Amino acid sequence: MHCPQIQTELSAYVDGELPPSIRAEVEAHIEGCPHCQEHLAELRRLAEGVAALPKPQPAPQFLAAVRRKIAHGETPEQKNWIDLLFRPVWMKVPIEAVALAAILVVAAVLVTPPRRNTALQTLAMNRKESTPAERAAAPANAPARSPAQPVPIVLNAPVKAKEEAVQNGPLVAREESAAAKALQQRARESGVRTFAPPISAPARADARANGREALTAGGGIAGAGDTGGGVVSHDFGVPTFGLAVPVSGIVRYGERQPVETIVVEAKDSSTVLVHAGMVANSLGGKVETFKRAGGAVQSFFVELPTENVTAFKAQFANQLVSPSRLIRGTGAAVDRFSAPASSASAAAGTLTEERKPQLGDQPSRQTTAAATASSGAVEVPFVREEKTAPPDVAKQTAAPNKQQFDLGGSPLTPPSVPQRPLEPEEPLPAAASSTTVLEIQVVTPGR
Amino acid sequence: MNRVITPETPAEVTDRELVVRCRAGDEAAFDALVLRHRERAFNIAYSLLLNHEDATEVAQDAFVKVYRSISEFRGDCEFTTWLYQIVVNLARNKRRWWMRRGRKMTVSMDCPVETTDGEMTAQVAAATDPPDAEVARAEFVRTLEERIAGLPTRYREVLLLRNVEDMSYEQIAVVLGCSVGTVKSRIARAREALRQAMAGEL
Repeated sequence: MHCPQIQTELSAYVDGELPPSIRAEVEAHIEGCPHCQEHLAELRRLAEGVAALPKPQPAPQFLAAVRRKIAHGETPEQKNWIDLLFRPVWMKVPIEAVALAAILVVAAVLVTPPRRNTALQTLAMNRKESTPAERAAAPANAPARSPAQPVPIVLNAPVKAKEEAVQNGPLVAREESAAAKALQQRARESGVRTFAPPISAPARADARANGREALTAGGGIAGAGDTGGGVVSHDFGVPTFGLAVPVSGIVRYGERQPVETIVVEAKDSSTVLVHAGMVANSLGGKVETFKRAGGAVQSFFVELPTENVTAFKAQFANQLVSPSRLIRGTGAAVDRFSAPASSASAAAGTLTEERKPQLGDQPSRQTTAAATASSGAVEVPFVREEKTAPPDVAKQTAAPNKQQFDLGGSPLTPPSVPQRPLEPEEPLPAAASSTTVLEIQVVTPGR
Repeated sequence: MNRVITPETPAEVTDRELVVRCRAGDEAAFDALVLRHRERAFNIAYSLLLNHEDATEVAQDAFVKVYRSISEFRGDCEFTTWLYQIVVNLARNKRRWWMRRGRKMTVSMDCPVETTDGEMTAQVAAATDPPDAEVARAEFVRTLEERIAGLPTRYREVLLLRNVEDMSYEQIAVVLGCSVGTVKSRIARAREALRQAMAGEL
């Protein structure tokens, strides 16, 4: 070993902590190295000096003080909570940053609305989930299908203009589900008169606007809705602490979509409600009320065990007290997933003028394929009132509706449900599989 | 119970015996342990804190902790090793506690010391009529004390444990919670730092 190596061992040598072999090597080197001898001497003087350092004496009464502390139950860790307040900055900042982040996360969880899948949010999802490729394809589809394509019969120009506006409009419009496009196009190709539903154009425009709001303002709202235009699977709203994206006008029927609509003319909707409630109650069902955004038509839902639907309709119709009268709906047996053409026709023939402004003016914001498809039948009365549609419009539109549903291949919204700005007053519970939901509309007479 | 508290506990009574009696509930045995080791505990605390008041508090707290956790002492090391371990940990906590408040640990030879007669100043004992060699040595030790106080605590504590408490590297490793190799190299670096700090005095 050379001097530098020896000197690193000298300290341990002084302390007698070297293993014998190294100790012998060190001693052999020191014998002939004055420099290392001097170094060793310095280390020894240092060690002796440290050992000779004055030893301050503990205060007298040391034992008594210890005893006193023990008797008082003091523990050495007692002051530790104070330390928490006086951590050095390098510890404090990360700790407090983490704490702040945790608080923010908890706060976000508390105030974020739970999943609420409305049609609007489905639109938002559609938009969000569409890939760039889909978006690129969308404009290519649009001109191919619309203004250039001959449409056999155009019932009214403004309607078509609106439709074109939608089709040529912003990207979102073209991103409507593929099923909707297919349905519309198939209807045109088959030569059947298809009505661009008067509601649907402004409705979709409206929905687009709202959809953007939902996209921008409604962060955190996730929808599990399909993007292909089938049935929109709705969760029912849970209280959202006032922070949900406003979705007024969206009908959140979800999977409790009424399979049939019963229209009753009555002066007082509450009488009808009570009456329906009593009948439903006797049949193991219940009534869900909704607050309407406006207009004369009141609407509520009746949820019943499926086997009692017929009984309910019979009892409900029989016990209606004059001047309340049934307009339509209790006669037909309704398949949940098919279009009841008869009821649509009946509605077309009997609905009063009062419904028109509601249907036309209300911005219905349903934007799914189901909505588009179903609106064809729903809007029949409107078209007829415009005096632009031939009398057989209803029947003709009912047929494509059936076809459309077959095309869709999935249970679509029954077309007999008019899309209205219904605002659920309270969320509906999820329906059991064995129950059926009816909608009862009350039309005020004489207006 | 007949408590006999005398500083002069017979040397033949080992720490281990006192610990056993203490665990059995013998309060006098605990008192004997305190009286036997208070100076060393205080010295270690003082060497780390360089403050009489803090060192007293730490040493007392160390014995309080010994009292409370004597049942946890398994006897697989010397009692002194365990005691010093407690003292070192408490002293480190105290140091951190002060450093958080921006207090600088400085050497103060004449900080007031609380005694039964009130506060007085600690003074290094001086022999009367010292010969020149003794004067020179006292001067050397005084300088050394100042320079040691200027060393990092991690150096100071190993030097004190080694040369003042005369502990082996292995015991120091237990007290400081590090390896023997770390102790060895740290002592070597500490002495080298002190040697350079004492350049011209050696």
